[in-house]
Amino acid sequence: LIPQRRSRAVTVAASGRSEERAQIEARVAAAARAMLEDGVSYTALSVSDLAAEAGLPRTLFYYHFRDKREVLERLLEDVVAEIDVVARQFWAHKPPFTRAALRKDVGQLTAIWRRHGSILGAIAEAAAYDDVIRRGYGAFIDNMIAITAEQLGQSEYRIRFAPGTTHEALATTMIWFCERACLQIGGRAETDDAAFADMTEALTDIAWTVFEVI
Amino acid sequence: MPERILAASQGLLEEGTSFTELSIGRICQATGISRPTFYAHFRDKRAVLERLAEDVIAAIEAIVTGFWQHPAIAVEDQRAALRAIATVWCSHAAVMRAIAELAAYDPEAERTYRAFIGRLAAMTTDRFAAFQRPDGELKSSPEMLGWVIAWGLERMCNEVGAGLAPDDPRFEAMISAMTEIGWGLVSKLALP
Repeated sequence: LIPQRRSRAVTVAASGRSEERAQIEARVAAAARAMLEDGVSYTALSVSDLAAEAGLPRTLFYYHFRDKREVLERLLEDVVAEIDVVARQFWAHKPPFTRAALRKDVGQLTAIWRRHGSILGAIAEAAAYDDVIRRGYGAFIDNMIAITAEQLGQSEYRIRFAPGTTHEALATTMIWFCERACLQIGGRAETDDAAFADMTEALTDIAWTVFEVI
Repeated sequence: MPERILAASQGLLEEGTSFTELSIGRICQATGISRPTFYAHFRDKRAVLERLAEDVIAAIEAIVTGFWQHPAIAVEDQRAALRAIATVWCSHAAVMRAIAELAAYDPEAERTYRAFIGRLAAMTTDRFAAFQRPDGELKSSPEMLGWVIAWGLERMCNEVGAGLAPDDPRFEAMISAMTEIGWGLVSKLALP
């Protein structure tokens, strides 16, 4: 989904060490995740703190990751892989749709966003000023839009109210509405389970205006 | 002088400088003034950005208020209002994106920005509540729908519209898509 990561700053060539490498990288990823979940903003996250949290000397951190951005890219890859699986089964449905089925699919998507809210929040934060993260996140969103637009195309959705729109523009609207709601509403501490369910209903209401008539 | 500082800062943002990269030094250089002169007018670069954003936010809110007070609306009115909002927003996208960028990590800016989105959400909620019938089909609350639409509109303008020229057909397609969905919601409320 996102472009292949650049080769590591330092490549660990010995294949026998790959398991150890994977283990250390997973430890750093887990440490970053824990810190973001604790409410540390990505901007405030430092490599020193990250290495300390993972229980590694800084030099070893730099042996595996070029910088904190590369850790964030790694976290994004994991979330993208999870969302991709759901998105594919989501759109594998054939029309006609029922609202209940749509609610279930939207619910699965928002649940992933909630589970990884701190990571996706950090990525959206970094995307505002970091071009590499911005491209990675953009590619992920564009892929979701493409899958949705394809589904609308196959379903021959008929524009009812506003001639001049396209399947792509409709898909773009649906995906960005979903992204923003999950981050700005779903990602907030004061959004309890009831409010989160209400948010999922609202996104389903929006999707349902498009998919109902197919 | 403040006007010149504001214009130069806006120019830098429009050239693609992110708010993080924007420095007092660059602003002074672009304005052709010294640092003490800058500080005589503004506390820091954030004060400059807040001033720039105030006008855009006021203009957007004026459009929304005017439209929402209109008693009888048709689909074409909704499309015209969305077009007016997106045109103002996207033509000042550099400033609006910088405010959104700052809000991602600065708690004070976050409160201000969220308050603005909250006012858009509240106006949208009022509008939906006016249409809502007990036998309407929507399952979410008008409050939540207002928030979801306000944040969605924010992202469509800052992410999608910001990169498009006003005469790009994709700009009109974006307005139409939001109208299609918005009117779809209204029709579900009013016509169960």
